[in-house]
Amino acid sequence: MKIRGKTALMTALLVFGFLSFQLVAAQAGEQQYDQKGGPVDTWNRPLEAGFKVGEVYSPVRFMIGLALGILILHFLRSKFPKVIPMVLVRALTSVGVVLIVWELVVYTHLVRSVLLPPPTTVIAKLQSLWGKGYLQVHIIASVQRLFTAFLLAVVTGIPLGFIIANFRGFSDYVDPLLNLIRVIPPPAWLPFAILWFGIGNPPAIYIIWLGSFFPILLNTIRGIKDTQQIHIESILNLGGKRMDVYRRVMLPSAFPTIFTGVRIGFGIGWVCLVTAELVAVDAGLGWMIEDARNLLDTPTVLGGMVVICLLGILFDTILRKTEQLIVRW
Amino acid sequence: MSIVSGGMAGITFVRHLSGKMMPEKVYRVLVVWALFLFLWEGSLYAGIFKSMLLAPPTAVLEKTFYFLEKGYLQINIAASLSRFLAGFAIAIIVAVPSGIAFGLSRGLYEWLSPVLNFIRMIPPPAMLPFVIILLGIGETPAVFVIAIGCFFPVFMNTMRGVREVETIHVEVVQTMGGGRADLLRHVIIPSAMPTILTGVRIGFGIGWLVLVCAEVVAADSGLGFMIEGARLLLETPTVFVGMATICVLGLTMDILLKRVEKFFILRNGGGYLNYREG
Repeated sequence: MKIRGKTALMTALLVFGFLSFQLVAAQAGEQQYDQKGGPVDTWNRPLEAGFKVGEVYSPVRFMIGLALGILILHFLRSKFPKVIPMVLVRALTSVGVVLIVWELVVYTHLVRSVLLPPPTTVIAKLQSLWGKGYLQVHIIASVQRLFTAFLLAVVTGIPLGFIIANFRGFSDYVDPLLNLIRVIPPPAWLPFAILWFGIGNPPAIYIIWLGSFFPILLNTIRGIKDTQQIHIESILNLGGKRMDVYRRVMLPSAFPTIFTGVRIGFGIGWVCLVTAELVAVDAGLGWMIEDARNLLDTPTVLGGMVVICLLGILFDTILRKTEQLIVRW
Repeated sequence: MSIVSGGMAGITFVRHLSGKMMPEKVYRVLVVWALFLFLWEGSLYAGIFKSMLLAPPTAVLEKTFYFLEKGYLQINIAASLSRFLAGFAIAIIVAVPSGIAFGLSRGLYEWLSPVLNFIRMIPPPAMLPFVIILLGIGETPAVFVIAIGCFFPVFMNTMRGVREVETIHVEVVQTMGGGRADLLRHVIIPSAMPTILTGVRIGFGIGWLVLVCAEVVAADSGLGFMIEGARLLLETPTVFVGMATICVLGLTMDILLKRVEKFFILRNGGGYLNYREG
């Protein structure tokens, strides 16, 4: 009963979040197209290619500010050791030091700023892209694509894994085929995906779905097969039906494994998303950095990488928290 | 068409003849694959799909033999494999020692892991445009990105394996008067080995994926380049040939890695068991 309520709640939340996201994305998409349906120039390509070093933010001020910030952080930590956790101090310090070194390396002309734009330029670039609405459009395009494919993978992977684990007659004949498809890396499908679905969302969704489907499927199968026989038998002894076994024993006991699969699948889906976007679409973060590379607009390339990295961390954290929330037994 | 139906008939025939000779499992796999090929060929033969979008197996087979004869396939396999092995080797050579260092030293881990976690969360393909700008088109960016893709699984697993070494084993060696080198050689590396090898296998999977991706985007040779080039020319059979080759190579290497893993674990586990019994 407990599990059912929670599952229903989570499903409802997921569906609701997905729908509202699609709504927002659709609205944002509409705003960005002009009357003829063509993309408006301002988001399709940023107008100016890059900034010169130190044009927007002063590198010196940036480095001194960071160094001061780190020092203040350590001072505060020594004063209030209980309020500020050491983990935070260490994380901020190491990231801050890397940023300072990165800025310094370019500032002292050890590395050319065309090849490695300094953090100040990247930040300025990101701000300008955000200000034009260019960044938001690509983030929304990527996330929409990812969510659609990922939900599709969850919706197909878990039930199929459940069936395969429970019905030997079915799995005996499906396994050889699935194994054949599983060993082909998703990017190798790209040419076909483009041939079959054309350029745009469908091939990307297909690739991402392929990438996240198999970890989810395999972990579901393993989780359900690992169900302890004694639990099943005790339910049957107490007069439970097959449905009770599925719902009250198999699903709860397989859930942690399934969720691990979901997280792994999400990670691989994220990699596949970027891959697909480098090749097969005309919007999204992967496309943005590839397009910027063609223009030698290195700040946008690095900015895009930073955004991809932060989004990945955000989603991974959300998934981990969800796992902790649901998997309590 | 005839090849496939012939093959199916052959399998059934062999099955009937051999009885117990052919294991049930092998028979099933063969039947399913034959059925799959039959449906694939049949649907094209009947005109359900356009042969431009889905090449029939016979055409794929023909193309494979043609490429093998011309040496085109071999060249691309060699290019892909050398690229992949270079990246994979670099990743392992860098990841295992640094993983051990991070696993042993608390300070190193605590101060540097936030930065590494940031880098870890960037999918390797997302580094590709940047790496191309830095290193140019060709071998280097592909090898670099493959190495990054393989690095993190191996590194993380090495670190975990080293951390999970049982304290009592370490203390035993220390009590017997062993130094740091003995500790490393006789306790830490053997007991972390299974975890490291798991990491190597995961890293292999990711590296293989990244290889194909890198070749589709940023190379001028290799299997990924071959399928992307064939797509541009709408040469569907060639795309299938490339995919099948990638699939077979990946499977072969995965099986090899499994063997290596088994060998190491058996050797270490066996040694450990003998030690306990003696």
